Amino acid sequence: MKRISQNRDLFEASAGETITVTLEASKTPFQGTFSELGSGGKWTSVQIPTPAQPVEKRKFTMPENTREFFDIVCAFPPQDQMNPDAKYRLSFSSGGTVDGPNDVLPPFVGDINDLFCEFRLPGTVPGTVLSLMTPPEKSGPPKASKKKAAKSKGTAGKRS
Amino acid sequence: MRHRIICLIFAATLTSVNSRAQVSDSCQKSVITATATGLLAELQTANAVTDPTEKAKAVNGVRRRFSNALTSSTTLGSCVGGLDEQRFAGILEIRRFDKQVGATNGASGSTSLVSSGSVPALLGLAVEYGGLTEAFSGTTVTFRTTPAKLIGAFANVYGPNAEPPSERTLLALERLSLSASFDTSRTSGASTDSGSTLLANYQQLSQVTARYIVLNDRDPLAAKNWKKIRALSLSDQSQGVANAGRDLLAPLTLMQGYDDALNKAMAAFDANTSNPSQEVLNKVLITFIQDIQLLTVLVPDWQQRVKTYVDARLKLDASHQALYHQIAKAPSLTVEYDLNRPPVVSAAAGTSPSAVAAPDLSTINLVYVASFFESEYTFNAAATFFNHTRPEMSGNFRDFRIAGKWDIPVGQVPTFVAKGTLTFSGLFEHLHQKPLGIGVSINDVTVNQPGNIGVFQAKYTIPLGDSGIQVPISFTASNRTELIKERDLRGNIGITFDLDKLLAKK
Repeated sequence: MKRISQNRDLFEASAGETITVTLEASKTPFQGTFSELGSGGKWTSVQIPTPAQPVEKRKFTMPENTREFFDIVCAFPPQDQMNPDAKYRLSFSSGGTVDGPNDVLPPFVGDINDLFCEFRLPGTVPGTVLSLMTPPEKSGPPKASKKKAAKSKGTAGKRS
Repeated sequence: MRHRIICLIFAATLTSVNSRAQVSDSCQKSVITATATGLLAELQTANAVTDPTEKAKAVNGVRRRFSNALTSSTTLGSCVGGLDEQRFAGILEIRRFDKQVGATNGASGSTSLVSSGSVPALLGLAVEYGGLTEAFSGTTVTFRTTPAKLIGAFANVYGPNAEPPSERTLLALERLSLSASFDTSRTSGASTDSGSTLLANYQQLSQVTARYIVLNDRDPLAAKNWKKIRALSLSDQSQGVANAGRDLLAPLTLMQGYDDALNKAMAAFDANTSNPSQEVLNKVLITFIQDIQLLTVLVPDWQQRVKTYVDARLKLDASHQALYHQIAKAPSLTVEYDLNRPPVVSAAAGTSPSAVAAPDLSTINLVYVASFFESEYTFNAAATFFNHTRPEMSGNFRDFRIAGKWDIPVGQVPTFVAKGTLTFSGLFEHLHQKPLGIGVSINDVTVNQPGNIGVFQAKYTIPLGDSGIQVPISFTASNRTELIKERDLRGNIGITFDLDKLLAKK
């Protein structure tokens, strides 16, 4: 796993590589939500958050022939109910490599911050307009994702 | 064929950049201005750090916040969302009331009859003019803080090797708040004339308060609330937002143009970190949004993706607000200790000593706060004791009082003023002995009347926008005051500052 952008959470990872994502809440109740994996793969839950240890850890395996991507939603209490030091810490690890933890602070507007994370196979480059013509990834239009949400219950989505 | 059509769309897009790439008013107001203002403040704070390593770290933190703001689904939904932008922008604001920033009801110069249950996390400073349950009038300045915050603020004083207090200790300390009030009218000796210079010395010290929150179901971190909040994060609504956010970014990040636009914005940000300006940050954000607008034309179902995201966000936001509203309205019980230092009283006629120092007073106060629909009610029960007795006094016990307050949120009056709070409060006090513990004469009126006192107050508190400044206007009627056995009608107007909000804006 190698970070390939300093401007967003964009990484390069080899097919079959296992990547662990760790999200920790600090001075705020844990209100983080992971989207399903864009490739259609499944998360494996490693650790679920508790009041004493508000850390969620889950992992995924890099697909063979497509990128992996997902969104992490970090919600915060409304401004007047929030500890001014509230934040989440997000880190990625694979083998001996660790990226982060990086702070996820409350957004300037609203109560919800989200991070789009992308892992590309080595040597692939983002496309131009042509990339939109390739067979659509599993993420697809929203109606499909609703079905997936229902189906995936009972897998890694099953958390405390 | 499809390939050709998309290429044509792309070409058309590039030729109509200026006519189509507009940033809506709702985006400008809800996202761009707020983000640029926040970033500017954080960059200025980061640039003020003297240690080069810490400064670089701080600037890098702001940089990450900036990139996060650019790539967030919130920005896309409210700025690149077409018709859904305005609908979405409506949920990006919050406000609430229930903090007491002024002096508690024992201190002179307070416009508050009943203590509220919570206090600002940071230092609260309030200057209020006028009297209430005391007959003295004056200007009271209150400093309020929590030890947990002070420990955090002064952590650097003890050096990097000092072991920080445990999380458990900090959580316990966060329930404790302390305040000190200074009456600036206490300029010298027996004077109670209206001085205005804050010396913050022992002479001006009029009240010291320690407050501990015994029951606080309003704390989002309380175990009971933690479970509810966690349940919301596991709900279909939260999952829907996460999936819709992913689907919003997924097609854009397939295009090199997305990273080009992002890298361009970040380079512009980097070039301006040492001397940031709101104008430049606004421009960088607007340019990025315009660049993304061009790309979204190439995503065939973009509007559907935005609609799905905005629908999911609105649903989640409604649940989120409802949950935290419920938490904010949960009951709380606070125990409070007040040390009150009555002013040195001067006698106009020669019937009593020229200057009399009454004994200091200790008050134990229980405050219970709960809600009734949108309104909030508060009950206080307090007993006051003299810290020492004199031969003519009948023991230490001075008085017992019970009070109630009902806060009702009301709508907007003039449009520039945010919603205000109408408060009705009442107080019954049994005064066991002479109010000052000793017999004194003020303006030829003897002050030594025990008995019962009833006070009623109506107050309207007007917040000036979201500035953290409030103007309380109150009308008070009583059958007597503690010092003078005459009916009293009084009108007060004041101004309070919530430094939490004022500092948050910076």
